[in-house]
Amino acid sequence: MTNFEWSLLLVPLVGIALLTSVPIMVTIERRGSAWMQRRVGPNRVGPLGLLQPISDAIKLVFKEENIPAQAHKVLFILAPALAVLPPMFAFSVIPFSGTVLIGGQEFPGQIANVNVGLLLLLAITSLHVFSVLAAGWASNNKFSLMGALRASSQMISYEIAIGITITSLVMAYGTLDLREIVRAQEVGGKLGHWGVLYQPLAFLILWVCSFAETNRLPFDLPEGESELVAGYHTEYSGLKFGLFMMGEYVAMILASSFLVTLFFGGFNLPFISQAELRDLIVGWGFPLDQASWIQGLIQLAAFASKVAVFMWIFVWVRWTLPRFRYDQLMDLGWKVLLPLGILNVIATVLITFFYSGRGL
Amino acid sequence: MESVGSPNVVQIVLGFLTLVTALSVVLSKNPVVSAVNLMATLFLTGALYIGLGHFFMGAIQILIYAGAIAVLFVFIVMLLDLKPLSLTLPGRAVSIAGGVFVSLFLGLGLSVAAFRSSFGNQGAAEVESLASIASPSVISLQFLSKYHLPFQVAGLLIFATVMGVVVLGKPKKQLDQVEGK
Repeated sequence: MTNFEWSLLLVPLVGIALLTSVPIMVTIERRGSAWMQRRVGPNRVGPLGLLQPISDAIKLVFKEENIPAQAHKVLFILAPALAVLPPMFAFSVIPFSGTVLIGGQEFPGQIANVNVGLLLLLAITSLHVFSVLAAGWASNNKFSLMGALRASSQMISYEIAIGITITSLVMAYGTLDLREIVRAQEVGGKLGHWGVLYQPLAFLILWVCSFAETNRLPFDLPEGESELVAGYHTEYSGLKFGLFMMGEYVAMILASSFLVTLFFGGFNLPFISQAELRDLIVGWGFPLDQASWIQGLIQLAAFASKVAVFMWIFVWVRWTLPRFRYDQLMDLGWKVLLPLGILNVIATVLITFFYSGRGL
Repeated sequence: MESVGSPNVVQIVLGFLTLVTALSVVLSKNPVVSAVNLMATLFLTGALYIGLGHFFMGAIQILIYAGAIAVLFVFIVMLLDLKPLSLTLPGRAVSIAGGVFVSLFLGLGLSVAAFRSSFGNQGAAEVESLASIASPSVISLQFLSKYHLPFQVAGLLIFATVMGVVVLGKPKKQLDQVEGK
């Protein structure tokens, strides 16, 4: 098996995993919000209401798909597809597991092992703005257009803070390769601990920005239902609306994976390095090939549970904080996060310069 | 780079799509559609770079051009709410003469560029040596040594532009206060 064939094998698996986690997240979001607000929540469909997402999906598929008469048809249809594609595409550079052995050959738990994975991820996610812009403009509705304009200015503003913060991260890790970044955080790696211990400020900035980039509360001004009906997707119905929802959840998964990879050791288990883990499993009496697969699955589980924690925080924050006012949002982006990011870069430069012997 | 010698199917399809979107930037009457197609062109160019194995160039191309500059174009065009353009065409003779003139020069330039770069043996060697600058560290070292002056001058230019934008963007009253009126 070549590396290319391995990637081809992983693409449908990762795609299915991402899309399957959307209904799970919808259930968690609805039940979680009910729990926080001391309501009952959806509990009628199936045991404990677990089949609710399936009935939601059936409803979305069979609803009438309405295209407004004055809409720009091509862009109107293209926009929902573009809401889902960039986050899924960007997931191809996220390393979600260690290497597995097939016939003595090592294969990474990652679709595309690119030497500039971090940059490529930022580049692809920056295209996410475009679906919102296209949807808002093509709908030919003033509320949609307002939502799109808010979304694009918000996302572009926060991308600047992200870019500045990434600079200090690159200095700390010394690489743009996401796999190398994960390796640097394992026991005995370049840093030896989770990145959040070395770049706490960068983590805070990127965390806040990830809420803004996914248009989640408290940054959901583009949708702001009390002001703009439903913002950029006012005119969408049926499965096209469903695609926007899917895009939002896949973008949340991507943002969580991004934070986990950069700051929380990615697929590493705490206190044990990849090689030690493999030796441990071999010690249980498994042959090397099988041991590598067990190790890969354990690391995948570690990655997934770390991502799940961040996904839960997304839900938690949504039902806890109210929406920002527009000027507060812009002030936070330009007057707080950007200067903090620049400060962090300066601090990182100074520390790297004076302690360069220590490898940070 | 094994992909340098002869283009594969993906590259041919990407190149064709790049041409189609680039043409529709010029040919579509609606400015928003033009801007959207411009973005698609820039994205596909980045994809072509990635197909050639230059991941850094591809990522930068998509991040800067498709993700930031083209999005700003689309944003501003939408904000201005421009109406589709109504063209007033010049006479037939003028059109033909202009078309022949432009296509002659364009064809000449393209063929010179094509023969001097990647089709001859020498061109292939050039592309091989380009492949060695694919990594970000090599590119940044070049910027800090051989191309340091252009790098700094470009930074100065951008700085001047930012200053200009700040001055232009200030309300008239504040500007008067700055000048002491």
